[in-house]
Amino acid sequence: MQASPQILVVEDDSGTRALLLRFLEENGFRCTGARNGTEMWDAMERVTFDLLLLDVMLPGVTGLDLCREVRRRGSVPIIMLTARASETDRVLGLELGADDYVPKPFSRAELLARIRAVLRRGRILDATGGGPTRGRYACFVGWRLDTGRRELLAPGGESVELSGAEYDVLLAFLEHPQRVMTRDRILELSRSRLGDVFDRSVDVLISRLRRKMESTEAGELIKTVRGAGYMFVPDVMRE
Amino acid sequence: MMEVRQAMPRILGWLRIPVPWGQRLDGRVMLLLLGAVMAVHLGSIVIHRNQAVEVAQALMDSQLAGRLAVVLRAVRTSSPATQAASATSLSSPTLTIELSHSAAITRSNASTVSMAQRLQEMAPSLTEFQLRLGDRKITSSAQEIQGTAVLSEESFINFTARQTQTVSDRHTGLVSTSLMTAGVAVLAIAMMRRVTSPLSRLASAADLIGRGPAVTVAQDGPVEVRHVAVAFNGMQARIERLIADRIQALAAVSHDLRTPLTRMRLRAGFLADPEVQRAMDADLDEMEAMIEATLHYLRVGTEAEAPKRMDLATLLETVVDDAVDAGQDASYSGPRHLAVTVRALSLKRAVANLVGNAVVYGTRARVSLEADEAAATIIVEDDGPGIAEADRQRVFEPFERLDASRGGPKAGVGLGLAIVRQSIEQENGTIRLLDADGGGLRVEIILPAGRHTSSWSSKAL
Repeated sequence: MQASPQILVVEDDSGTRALLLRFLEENGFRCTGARNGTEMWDAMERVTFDLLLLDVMLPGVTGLDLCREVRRRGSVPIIMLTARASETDRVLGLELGADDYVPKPFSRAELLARIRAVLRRGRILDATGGGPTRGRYACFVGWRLDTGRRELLAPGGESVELSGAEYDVLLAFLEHPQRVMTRDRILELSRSRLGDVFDRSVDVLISRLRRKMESTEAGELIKTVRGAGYMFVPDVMRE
Repeated sequence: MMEVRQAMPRILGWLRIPVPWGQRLDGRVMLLLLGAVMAVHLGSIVIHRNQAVEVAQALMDSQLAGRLAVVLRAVRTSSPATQAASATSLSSPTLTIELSHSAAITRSNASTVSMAQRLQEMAPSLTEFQLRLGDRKITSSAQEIQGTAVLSEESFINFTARQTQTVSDRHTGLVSTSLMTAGVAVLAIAMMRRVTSPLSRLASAADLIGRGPAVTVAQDGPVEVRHVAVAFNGMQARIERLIADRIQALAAVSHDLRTPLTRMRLRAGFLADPEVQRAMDADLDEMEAMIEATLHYLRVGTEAEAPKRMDLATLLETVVDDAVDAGQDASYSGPRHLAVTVRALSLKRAVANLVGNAVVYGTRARVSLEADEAAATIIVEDDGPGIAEADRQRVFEPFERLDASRGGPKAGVGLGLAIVRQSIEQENGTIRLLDADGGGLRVEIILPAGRHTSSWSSKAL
């Protein structure tokens, strides 16, 4: 039995912080709260955290600055709490090395799903030696996935719209190319989006991905392995 | 009807149909000017005429005096037998002479006496005769003087001097007046146009306020007009600042509401009763949607998203897939790929909005995409009650809601279609509401393949 994960919540609004701590504790996490950057660094001196929940809007040093600094010092997973629809915060956060973002106001289920997914991915990538330090772009037969902006670019350079779930599935494939993966494995690797939506079967998501990435030049990208699962066929280069 | 009445002056302006002259500033000033010019001109004609008549009379008198002196002397020196014949022979059209036993003029009055004296001063030999003159008869075309010179008690010379008027007649006066008036009119029109054109520009500018970006009026023309233009620009700046302040206040409130909303979200999780918890979450969803819509509406145009090259077909597919995942009946048909240059987030939100409306007011959303050289057309159709022709313009106005007639739920703040129109206009596109085949609403979004949408690479499979 693993010890329950340690989460550091950096949030300046005391009401929100207290409620977040209580909510996370009720869901089996151990939590510490910090009001600002100074308190955050103090807490990180004392305890090794499994995850940082970092509000973008902090007085003084912003969450984005803290995110960059934390990433420079280590690889502790970070989830940014951003204002919804603020595209700049979201992109900047991811580019600065945050693992995910949750727009405020968030639903409880969404927050839990993201936290669990990031923790799980961290463990899996630790075990396989992978990690977020390996290049921002994943390239295959002319396609390009920008993991900073979470954007897929077609060989012609145009951005191809992916849902969050589709992005996660594609990323799972790109991190394990030319390896047969079962549906459960794919689900486990990619389950970072809204729980409800994600209960759609993996098959549906993969058929949508195939449709969106259909091109005559590259041929079949995702192959069905009868009775086993799926395999991503092309070579993947990290840049 | 109200709108028609308000639009009338503008329509007249477009068609260049003039408003009645007397009601226009330049018209009034011009009429005044022309009236004054005509009065001066006519007055000067009258004065000129009178002077000319006097000159003509003096001329006639001196001629008459000279000729009369010669004639009278000639008649008197003739033998009594030939006197009558020589008098007749000395007659001319301008001076008729006749020897008679009776005087044509028997008495004089004060004015004719003075006239006779004047003639005698001009020709001193006339003093040898007693000279009686009749009143000068003046008609419009000629003047005539009758007179009698007394030769002896029984012999009189009656004469009639006649002169055709040489003064410029009435017709030339009229012609010159009209020519001059016309010239002044042309000049006046040209000048008044210059004077009033800043006013017309001011009116057009005032008419444009609130219909698009800020309008600045050129601050030129006469001082008064310039003052109006300056005041107008100042007023517009103040209005804009006022609106900007309000928008900022509304945005700030909407923005700050997120913090208490986040707390309420978390608190709702601690409610023991799952039924209450669900209801609370539903209320919170609704509030959140309203705040997001308001913020989005206010943000468009200020925090502009940059256009980027993207695949429009996959964007539509994603919107449809999201709706399907949420348990709705939605479908997409059209090419698999279509590269365009648009603001993807804002366009996606617009289409998602239309799809959301389709499944709320109808039961299904049919999204399709058509593309040719000139444009890409996104079509969203539903099987709902549609929107009446009369309401189709109104639904795009912010905070307008047709829920009563459309039979939909009373949620939201009525910004949905306003946001849709905003984002489509941002792409230089157009949006139209039509009837779908077999009832329901058909929304067409036409994105031109112009400056903002690069060449198509349609890879329909």
